[in-house]
Amino acid sequence: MFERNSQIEEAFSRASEQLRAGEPLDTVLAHYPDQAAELAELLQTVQTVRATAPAPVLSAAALARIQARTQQATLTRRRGVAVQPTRSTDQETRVLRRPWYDVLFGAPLRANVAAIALVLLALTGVLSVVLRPPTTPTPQTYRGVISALGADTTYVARPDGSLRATADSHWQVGDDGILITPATVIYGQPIIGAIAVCTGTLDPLTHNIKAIEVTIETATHKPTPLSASATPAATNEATAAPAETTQPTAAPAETTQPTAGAWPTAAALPSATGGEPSPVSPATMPPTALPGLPTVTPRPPLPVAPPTVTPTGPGGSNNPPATTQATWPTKTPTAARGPATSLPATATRVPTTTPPPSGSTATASPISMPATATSVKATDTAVPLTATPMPPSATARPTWATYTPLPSHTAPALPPSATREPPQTATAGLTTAPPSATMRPTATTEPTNTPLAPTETPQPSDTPVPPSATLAPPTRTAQPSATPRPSTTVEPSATPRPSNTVEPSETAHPSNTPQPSETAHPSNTPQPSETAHPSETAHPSNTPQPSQTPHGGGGGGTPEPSRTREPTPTPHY
Amino acid sequence: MDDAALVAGLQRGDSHAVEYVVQQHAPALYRYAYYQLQDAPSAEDVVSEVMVRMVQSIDRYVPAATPFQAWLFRIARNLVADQYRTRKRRPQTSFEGWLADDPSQEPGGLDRAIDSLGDRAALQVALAELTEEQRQVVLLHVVEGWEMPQVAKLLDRSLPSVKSLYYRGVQALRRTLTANVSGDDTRSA
Repeated sequence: MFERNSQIEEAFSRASEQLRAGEPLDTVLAHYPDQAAELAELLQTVQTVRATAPAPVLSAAALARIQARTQQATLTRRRGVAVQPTRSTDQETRVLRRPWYDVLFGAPLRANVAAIALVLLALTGVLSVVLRPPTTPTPQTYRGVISALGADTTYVARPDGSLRATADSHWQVGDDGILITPATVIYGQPIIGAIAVCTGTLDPLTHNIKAIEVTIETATHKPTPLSASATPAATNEATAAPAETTQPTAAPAETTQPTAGAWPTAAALPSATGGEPSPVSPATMPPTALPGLPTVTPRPPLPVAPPTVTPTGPGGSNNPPATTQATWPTKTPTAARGPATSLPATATRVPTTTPPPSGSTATASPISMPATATSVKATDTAVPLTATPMPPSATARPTWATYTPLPSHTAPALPPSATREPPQTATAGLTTAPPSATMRPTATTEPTNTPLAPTETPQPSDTPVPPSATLAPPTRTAQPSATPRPSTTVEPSATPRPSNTVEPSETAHPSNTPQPSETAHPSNTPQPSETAHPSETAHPSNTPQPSQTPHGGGGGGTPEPSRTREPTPTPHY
Repeated sequence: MDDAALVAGLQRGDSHAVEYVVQQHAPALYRYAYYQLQDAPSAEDVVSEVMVRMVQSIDRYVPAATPFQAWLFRIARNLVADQYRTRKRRPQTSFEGWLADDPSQEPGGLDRAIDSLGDRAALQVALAELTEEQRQVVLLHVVEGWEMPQVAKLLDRSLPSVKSLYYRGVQALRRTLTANVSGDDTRSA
């Protein structure tokens, strides 16, 4: 059926075309004899439609209207094109209408090139940052005393003998935090207080040092005691330490004394010392120094160890503390002076020794000498008095002593700066000992003693030396008098202290100072001040001060626990 | 003037080209629209709109893709479709309207027109009975004289389907016209 329809449809279509072409109906039907009947009807219908179909003709008016409208549309289109330039001159409109890419590609060539260059530059920068290989920090070496080890971390020995941490561990080496990882190679046994030399890289984020290799050096310095004892412990031990250090302690005492006009007197000392501040030789020092000091008397503040030492014997630089101590007490009571109070120890000594010196310089010097000489040890010795128990333990800790002393000295004495000044002081004049210095000792160590400081200050007045001079004096005194000067003495003391030694000059001052003052005070000050000092002596326990002395100043001679600690950090780095 | 030259003139905005197009294609478009809409004003509007759109879109015209005339009739076809959708009704043209729209109507020719009035009305009714596509094929091929392939292209239909539409449309016209004639005969008898 469908096939037939398609055939008739095709035949009808062709016949219609032929008919439209002008062929007569009969001729066309002749071509399709089979479908002629059906095609004839259809073709007649087509002819009818073609003939009858209304031929709607577009009227002229309608055609004109259409024509006019079309022409108008054409003009509008033309105007649109022509007007375009006008629109383009309007920058704002143009910018608003321009697509984003037109901003780049519609710009002048130079601008395009510049823009492209900028883009390339930016891309290069970004790529360089992104593709830059991570900077590997260069390993650096750090050295310090191990003050803390990571808890709960065990170490396993490696075949080569080194150790390996089983887990990450944080060590505190000096001021640096060290991260120990299982990859870190550790040579030696990690112990708190040991010196560790660490090679590692610094993590910029955590500021920790990631250790690659750690070498533990022999644990010479054991901060343990320091840290553990802290201030208090220090006091006790200090005493002992001083004994060992001897010299440093003396220094502080001196500081105080310097105030005392004694220094001038000490001038005599110079004779003894030979005018050499540096000369540590105790022997020399004692004799000369003391003499002058007596005059200075007011300087009791220096009570520091030195005096104690003195008693032992002017010539004998190293006198057993015990002896000194003995003297101390006795003297202390005698001395009633305010200033003396401040520097009890010194004062005490002075008295003892002083007696003879009061008269001539020579006499004084001997006395002073002992003081100074002793100063190094004397100071320490003096400390023992107060700290009595010190001896054995202190001795046991040689290293410790080294550290401790400094603090103690420093403490009593003036702050580091002060201590350092000593050298200057020396030049200036032994006469006056900086009240401040005096003060410190007292203040630092014992409140009781503190009062001394003030008193001491006045002492300087006693001393002929001008106030200003007084300040510097301590140090100066030592040097000028050179001989007696604790400075000299100090140095010796310094010598004993390795670390402290570094600052011998300082040490010297203290020792110097005190002595003179002591000397001077001997008669006057000693007792009262001494009394106080003794207590200070306890400070001496601060004794650690001795160690401080080296720092600087032993001048102060006053023990300062805090300082005592200072040593710890100082040495290692 | 061939299509390429005509289109080039139109694209340049040549008024002569525009005039030529209107003169050449407006009548056929009008008839086409008229047969579809059965309304002279609507047919005129359609023709006018076709010309405006042609001018506006001439830049997008691709000569190789479609003959220019077919392109115009496609525009007309779309517009007619829009008209259908708008009116939602089949165009109803009154006899008076038919006569009024016939520009050939002249007082002197009234008699001849009267002779053919019956056939035209019958044909009008018969054409109205066809489907839209059948009507377009019949009118374009029979009245306008388009070739079957052209019609197929305009309607986007295959040639066989257009031939089928043509065949069925003519069959429908014959049936309607025959019925009307027989009816008239019966009544007259």
